[in-house]
Amino acid sequence: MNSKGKKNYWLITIATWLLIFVAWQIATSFRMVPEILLPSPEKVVSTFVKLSEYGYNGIPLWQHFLITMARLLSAVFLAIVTAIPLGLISGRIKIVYSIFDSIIQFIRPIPPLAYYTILILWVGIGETSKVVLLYLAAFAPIYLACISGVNRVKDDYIKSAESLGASSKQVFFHVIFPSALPDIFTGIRTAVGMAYTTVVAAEMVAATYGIGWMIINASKYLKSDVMFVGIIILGITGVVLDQILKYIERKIVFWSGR
Amino acid sequence: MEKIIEVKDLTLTYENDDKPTLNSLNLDIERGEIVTVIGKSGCGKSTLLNTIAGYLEPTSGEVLLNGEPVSGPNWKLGVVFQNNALYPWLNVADNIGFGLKMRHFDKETIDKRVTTLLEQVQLTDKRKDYVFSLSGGMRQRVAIARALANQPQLVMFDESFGALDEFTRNDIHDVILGLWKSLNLTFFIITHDIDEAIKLGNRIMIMTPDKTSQLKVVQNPYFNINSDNIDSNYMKFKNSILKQII
Repeated sequence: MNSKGKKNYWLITIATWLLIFVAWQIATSFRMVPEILLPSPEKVVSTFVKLSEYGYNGIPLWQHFLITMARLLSAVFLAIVTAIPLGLISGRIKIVYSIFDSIIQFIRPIPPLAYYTILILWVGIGETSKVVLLYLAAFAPIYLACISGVNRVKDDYIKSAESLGASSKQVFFHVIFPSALPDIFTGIRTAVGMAYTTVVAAEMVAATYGIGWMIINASKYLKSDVMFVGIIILGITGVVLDQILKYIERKIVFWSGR
Repeated sequence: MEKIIEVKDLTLTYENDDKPTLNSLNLDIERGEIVTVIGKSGCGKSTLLNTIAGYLEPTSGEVLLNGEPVSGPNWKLGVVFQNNALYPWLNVADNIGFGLKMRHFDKETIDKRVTTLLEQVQLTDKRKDYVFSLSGGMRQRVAIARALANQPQLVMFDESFGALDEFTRNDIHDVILGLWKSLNLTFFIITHDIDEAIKLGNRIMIMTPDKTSQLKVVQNPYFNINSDNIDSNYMKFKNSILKQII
């Protein structure tokens, strides 16, 4: 995108959000929608301020936020350190692929809530079950991206490394791994998205804090303003996380697509 | 002359193929010569190169490098690919020094050799540039320098200049001939361009799909010809090659 195109893109994006905000303001000011279904922007802002000051259910809002992020990021971190090596090896060694791929393909389409109760029975009601649930959601996208990355490594890259004197191990670490990095990053971004959408589910059962729990808890008492605060926090954090990942990707995989 | 490569009764049949792609093929490459191989697409030129380079295992027969069988890819046999196969995550200097690094040479030796090669391919000022920022011709020079960094016995080119425009290709030809003269190298060049085969080859090998006699060797009186010296005899020579290919 050239600089003019970029400027237009941002103008259209800002205009879209302004339009959404104005429509929200009008709908609530003229009471077109009951407040219990759609609280006004002022109400949401004042609830946010109140939650920031006094917290929700005795726990400060930042603590709810941090625990959700801690669950999410620890699960994604675990998925990265396990799925990348396993995915790369599976992409390279057919026997490893035969062992793991069918298991991961079996788990991948199952909605996380379907096995959450089993996980609680297996690993307990505490943090572990929540992190494991998010981990399982994040694992498959990274694993599959690694396999795809390895399969897409140009044959000539490997052949030229071999004819330059590289051993199989050197080919793996100096050619296959960097070559697969663009796909790995795509997998990580997808994984963060998957884990993020699962975080509310993870905090639905047997949790007492977290943004997801706050939304679920507020819904029981029809506190739509609190729900909106939680949803907006999750939305903004999701966008920020994705932008951070995109930034890291641009720095590390600077050659991608060139 | 000392033989670097000896190809003896080389036959290669691909899996699920009933006919061999290479059939009882024999050829020698001597130290210090440039052998060009020309033929139509699909006649087996790249298969021949891949077998000599050790990427493909022959069905029967053998390839000897200095009298020793080639059993796999080997740093003594450098290869320059058509799409150059340079690593975009490395800069020019790191691409050229890649093989030396893999072979655990010390940093000083690598730096020294890279500097010399950059001078030889006239890319000294591009040392720190990433390869994706270079033109096609420059990339191909980096690929040549990378293949030469290991000081291989033979450097093979697999239709390496096919994607370049005519002017850039002429420049690369001059770089190759300059390196060959100054470093006493041995080259094995696969091409589908007859003019290129004539300009670069001390010896031209014509590869035909005819299974009984796949390689016809032609002595080349027009090696390193300047385009200003092209005359009717050159055209006759070129036509005779063309007829043999078809």
